[in-house]
Amino acid sequence: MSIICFENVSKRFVLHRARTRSIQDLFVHRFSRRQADRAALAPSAPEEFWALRDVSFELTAGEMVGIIGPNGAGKSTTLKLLARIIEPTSGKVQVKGRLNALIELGAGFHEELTGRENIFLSGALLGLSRQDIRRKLDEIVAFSELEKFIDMPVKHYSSGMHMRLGFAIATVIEAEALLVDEVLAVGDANFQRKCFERIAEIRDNGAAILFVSHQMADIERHCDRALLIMDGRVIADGAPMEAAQQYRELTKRQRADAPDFYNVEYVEFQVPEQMRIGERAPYRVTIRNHSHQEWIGEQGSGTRMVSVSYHWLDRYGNMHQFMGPRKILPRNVAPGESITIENFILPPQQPGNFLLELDLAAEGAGWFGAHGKPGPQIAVSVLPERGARHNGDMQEKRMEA
Amino acid sequence: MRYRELLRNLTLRDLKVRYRNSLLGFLWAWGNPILMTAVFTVVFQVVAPNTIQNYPLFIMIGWLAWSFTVGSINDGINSIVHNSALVKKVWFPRITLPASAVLANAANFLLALPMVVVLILYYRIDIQAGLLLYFPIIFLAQLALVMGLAFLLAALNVFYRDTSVVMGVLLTAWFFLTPVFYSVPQLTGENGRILYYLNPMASIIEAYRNILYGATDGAPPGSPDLAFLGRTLVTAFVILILGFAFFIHASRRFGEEL
Repeated sequence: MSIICFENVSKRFVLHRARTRSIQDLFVHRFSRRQADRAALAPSAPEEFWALRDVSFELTAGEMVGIIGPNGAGKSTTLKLLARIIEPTSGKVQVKGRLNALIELGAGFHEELTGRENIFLSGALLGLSRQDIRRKLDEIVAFSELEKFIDMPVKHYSSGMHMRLGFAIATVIEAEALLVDEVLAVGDANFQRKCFERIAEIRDNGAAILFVSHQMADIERHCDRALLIMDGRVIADGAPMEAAQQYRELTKRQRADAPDFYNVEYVEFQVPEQMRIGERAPYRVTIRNHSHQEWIGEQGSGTRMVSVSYHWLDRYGNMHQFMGPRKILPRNVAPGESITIENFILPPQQPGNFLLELDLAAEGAGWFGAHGKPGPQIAVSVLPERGARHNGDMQEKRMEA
Repeated sequence: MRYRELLRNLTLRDLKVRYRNSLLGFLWAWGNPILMTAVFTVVFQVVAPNTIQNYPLFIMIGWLAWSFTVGSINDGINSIVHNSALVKKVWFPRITLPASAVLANAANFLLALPMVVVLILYYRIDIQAGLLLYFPIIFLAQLALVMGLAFLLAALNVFYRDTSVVMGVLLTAWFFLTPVFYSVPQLTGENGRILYYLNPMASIIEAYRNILYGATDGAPPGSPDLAFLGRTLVTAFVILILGFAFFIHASRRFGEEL
């Protein structure tokens, strides 16, 4: 019996740049349209981005399926569609029964409340009644190994404790389907093993599990099947070994193909040193085409248009958040020519110090979001949201217990 | 309704968090109105005296009702945006966020009512038990009104973040247009009258005072203006339905907009 069913699902995102976000923008818009140079200022057609195109697959009860693919291929979009956080542009997403998501463990925690209070709150978020939660309480506390700390406010928990509690809540509550994102990468080896055992147990009890990971070894070891997604399409759906092998080959070939096309020189890159969560920051970059091919810009036929995008690394250089809105080159750029681009950057949703890295990508089939020589890394400190109240992601305040 | 438990939990969360880190805890539900009553009483009985009898009771009723509305709108308007981490990660009926923000303020309002009772006893107001039956009706009208506004504004604030800034100004204007610290008979001009009839909060506060306080000349409590209250009730429910419909329609895009 199929538990999760994707039927010809497509998802289009309209990128933020073209939209009015505040009333001020609305007025500025109005006004600038009356200017003589309105042609120059008029907003271009909204930038679209198809995160998924015509994706179909099924998961039956008791099946664990891995999703692999490069960053930006559409894995997170798939999970978000399943979790009902976003809606498909076309097609049908169906889940029979309850679905628990380990997308972000402890997303519903309130820092001021105790572990026990947070269990009740998170349980209620998943739609459980008080009796149900009370019945599960001991099991959750035992699994998370937090007996001594359960009546302490969550703000005093370490990130590992946070994760353990989140995992315990999401897996002790029975569900027909479970989504597991990269979350298991955190936490110590012992707890990780315990988590995989728990997931296997859930599968044996007849739940369908969708598992996203970059660790091919985990996919091959734990999954019954794997989907390879690239550029928003399912390229392979079959044995984990084969899908993983195909992925390795594709990335290899792409590295061999890409260098010339993406031979880019970052001439100048200007970006504020400080950003604030929820407020976009302007950037300005000049790049020169050092390849032997012309870069196709906005007026292109729609395939292989070259765009500039960026991602966030944490201060140790690990990927923190992949791909902000892409900016498609406004015009074609011939070999040897340079172009200056101005656009906006959305800071990560978490305060702290990050590295910002620009990169160049091409839209359309065949390129699989291959990336060129990465741009310079720029240190940016991200400030908390203006007037922010407490919410679940003020990591700074946690201390190791 | 599977998510009734969630609504209860979120409401309790709002209340717990509000009082957990303060020394006096939930006594602040009383502290704020007591202090504000003292401030208004000093201003309007000592500094710029007016003729309103039993002014502390008069202002306390007005201030509590007004705080319920303002608190609900302020908490409701940011309820989605401030919980964006949650909204982007977990699916649950989003309407529970503004609804719980309003319910927490409603609970706060009800918790503060014993102080009104104390003042009623102190001024020996001649309360009629029958009139108290109007209280739930007036309360329901106010709840529907602020709930509808909270739904509308919370959703709008996701798309236009200036909504909360603009509302800050509008709420101040609304405060002065509502008979909170002055009385309805003081509205003598034609324009004042019209604004009074257009303002649902005016009739709600007036109705609370009718049954709990009486008149500004010291006359005992009486029945509220039923036709007026009826119209307010209809207005409140129309706003509730519109707010609800708009929120449900808009909430499908929250995951992408935040």
